[in-house]
Amino acid sequence: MLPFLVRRLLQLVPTFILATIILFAVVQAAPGDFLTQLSQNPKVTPERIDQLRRIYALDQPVVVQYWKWLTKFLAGDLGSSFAANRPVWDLVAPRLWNSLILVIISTVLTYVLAILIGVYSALRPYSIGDRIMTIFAYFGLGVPSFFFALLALFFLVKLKQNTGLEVPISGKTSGSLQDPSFWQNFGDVFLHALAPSIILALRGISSESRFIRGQMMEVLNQDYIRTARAKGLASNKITYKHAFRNASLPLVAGLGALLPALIGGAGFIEVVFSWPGLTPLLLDSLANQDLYVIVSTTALSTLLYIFGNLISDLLLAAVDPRIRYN
Amino acid sequence: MKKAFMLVAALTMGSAMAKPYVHAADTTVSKASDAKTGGTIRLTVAGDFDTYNPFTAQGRPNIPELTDAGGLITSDPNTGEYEGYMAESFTISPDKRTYTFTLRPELKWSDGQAITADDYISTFKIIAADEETSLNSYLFDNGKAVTWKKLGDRKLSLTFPRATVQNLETISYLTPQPDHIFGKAFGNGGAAGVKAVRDLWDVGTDVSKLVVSGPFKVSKYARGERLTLVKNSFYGQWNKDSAGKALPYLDGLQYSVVKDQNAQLAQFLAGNVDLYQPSNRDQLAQIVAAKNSGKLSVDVLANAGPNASVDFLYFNFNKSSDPFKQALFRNVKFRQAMSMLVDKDAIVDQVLGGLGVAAWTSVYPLYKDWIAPDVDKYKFNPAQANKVLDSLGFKKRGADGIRVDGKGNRLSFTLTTNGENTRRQQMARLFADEAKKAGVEVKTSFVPFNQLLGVVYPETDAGKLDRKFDASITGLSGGGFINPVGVSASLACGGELNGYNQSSKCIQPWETQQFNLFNKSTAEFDTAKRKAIANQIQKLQAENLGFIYLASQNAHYAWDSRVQGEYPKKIANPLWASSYFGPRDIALTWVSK
Repeated sequence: MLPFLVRRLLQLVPTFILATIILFAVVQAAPGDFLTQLSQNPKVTPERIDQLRRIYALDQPVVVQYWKWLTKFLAGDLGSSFAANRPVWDLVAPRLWNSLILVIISTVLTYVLAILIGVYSALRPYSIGDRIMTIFAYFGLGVPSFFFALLALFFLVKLKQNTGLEVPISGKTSGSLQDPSFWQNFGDVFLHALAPSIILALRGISSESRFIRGQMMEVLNQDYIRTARAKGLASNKITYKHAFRNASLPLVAGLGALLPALIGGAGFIEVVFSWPGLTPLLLDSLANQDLYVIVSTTALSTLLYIFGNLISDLLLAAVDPRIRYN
Repeated sequence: MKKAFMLVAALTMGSAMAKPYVHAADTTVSKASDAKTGGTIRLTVAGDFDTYNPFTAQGRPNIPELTDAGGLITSDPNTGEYEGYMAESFTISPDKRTYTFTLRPELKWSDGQAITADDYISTFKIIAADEETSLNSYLFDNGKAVTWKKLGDRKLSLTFPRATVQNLETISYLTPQPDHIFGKAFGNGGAAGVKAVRDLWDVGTDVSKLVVSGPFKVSKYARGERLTLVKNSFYGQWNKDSAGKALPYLDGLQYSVVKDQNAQLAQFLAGNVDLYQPSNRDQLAQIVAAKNSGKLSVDVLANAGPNASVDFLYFNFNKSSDPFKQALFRNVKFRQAMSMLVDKDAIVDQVLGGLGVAAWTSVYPLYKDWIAPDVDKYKFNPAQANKVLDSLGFKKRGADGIRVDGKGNRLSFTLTTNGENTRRQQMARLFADEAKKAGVEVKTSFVPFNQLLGVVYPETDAGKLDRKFDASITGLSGGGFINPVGVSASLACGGELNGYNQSSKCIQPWETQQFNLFNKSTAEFDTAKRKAIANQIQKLQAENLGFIYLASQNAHYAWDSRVQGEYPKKIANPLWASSYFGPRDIALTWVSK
């Protein structure tokens, strides 16, 4: 296991470098230079622009620029945001955490519900329940998440107007709490995260439940399941211990990739629900051409992606006895 | 009676007696005895705030404006007259240039220190030294500086280079900042002093270090989440309601950062936000429907009148790198033709949903008494526009239907406006469609507002002679009611808000005439005569079209019924409404539950 880990961590290095080179090249290739834009801004003095040029080594070749950025990045310095005039990390850290809250809740929701629905559908294929789930799954896959979010917003407003029942519809906290305790704050944030997390989970539930249904049905038709049945093993044991464990292998493999994908995918949901996550910050940064926020946060998600894959592999080894990494 | 007494008191020299500012009973519908103390009002804001520093704050809303008490004097919305506010009394010299103020003895900053003449003096010094700060132009009149004198701890005077009708208005905008913070940083002044002042109070500053004069002070700000303001109890020591009770009534304000417009509306419809300003027909309709079906307890003031704002289109006169376009944009016939391709009725109908008014001159439609007759000279008339374009030599049409002149120049330009503003984008598209029919290619380009400002108003002198855009739609809002024909910043050649000509020299004679007339109008104290001059200015504008004015949007206000203390009907219009709180004075606002 250890040599595998070391090997994978070594592979991580060229992968990250390649990814960031491409990222850097794309940003550099985009028309317009952010300093040109900045030089048109009366708020920024020519001295400040010269200073920025030096700080970011923009007067030097792209290779040197990349190297400077990379060494700074690896040392934990993500550069400075022009719009907020603060280190990128100060802006990104709270946003990253906020996005993760949604990701964690929606991931748990996705897997718990998708497994339940998938297994149920596989055990009773083409039953009425299965068909209803199928219809819902198609809706979940076909309708864009941000549209669901707007529908949810509408629904929650109507709910409040008609019943007085309040589910928070935007923001991360309610503001009515003065100096909340840890648990009060936890509950408040959780309630605010609920609606966006559910919307975020819908697509995952739809696709994963269909996936599990297919996998389960395939495994349930295998010879060893038939043998187990013939031996008179309990149905639950067959389903969950033998069939589901094997059916879930590809699912586990995909788990790691979920991390960065969900941060990217939380996007418009965060905007619609005014959730202070990474996407609204990135959108603002794109509008302001806040270069280092864009490059550094994208590089961070690349890192997450790489680590996510590593986690997937390790999880796969843990659940699949046939896989050994030594 | 109380009002008359206040006015007399304000116009006589002050006595040593304690005299808090008493908010007149006729500026709210509530009786002072009904008003309850306490509670918090919840609002939304579309983006994050940049700074706590009043000298660097730009854009609206900004925190310094929310925490600022106001100036030496204020105007009464019922009469339009100025009365002492932070000043308990003031006098005007016979030549109408020098204004002498005596401050109220109870004035205090939020840290308990007294507000004195020193605070004003150091604020004036900083504003005059810092060309980038938004109030800088108020301390200069045609390049001549306003001067000031400290006459005692509570007494000071301001002398203007000229006697103008707007001097009182200007004084009402000049709000003091704490000398013990900013004056100290400014030190002996100069560039180092300005820099030291600008470096103070960025958004990372510990909020307990902020010192303000207004009814509320910052208690907490989490970027992307919420700004919480709480009552500044020192404000109530010199601000009382008509029954003598300390103001504000409210305990605080909460601004949630809600970027998405749908979410902002949803929050109001769900009863989670107290004040809301519907900006289009759809938003208004949803609120009215919820109210009528009894699902939402709100008060709605629809079509309170056109806003004190207008959108306009203009062509860049300073484009030295492209002589063809520069000459074209400076050609008055071309601009008249373009004006005849602007369908203002369609703009009001389609873009503003019928809830707006076409605009023709620098006088906002809000001040309808001030709009000159017959200024709708070049109204929508595509046939005539085609004739004019023919006469300019753009006769042939290329394969794409776009006109070309004898030298092969295509009649094509890019119209830029800000990406955040869908209203202006729709106006741009409507114009582009009409222009295309007449053989004019108008490419639209939507960029973030800050970038647009940077392009339209470049910093350097060289940049001002070669600005990097063709045409743009932006707008103007605010401005006073004393001489509503405009502000020098937009009428002067090279003025800070002059979109068509940023070079400091006037390019065409009408520009000089317009500015001279404007200066004349500001020195004319007789309202009828001032109106006559304003009419002349508007005639020049209607003929020469430096700005092609488009339309003003009507204002609508809605608030949760628990919010009380709005202005009476007579003054609940955009002229007196606050840009943050709608038709109400926030100090006199209270909540019923």
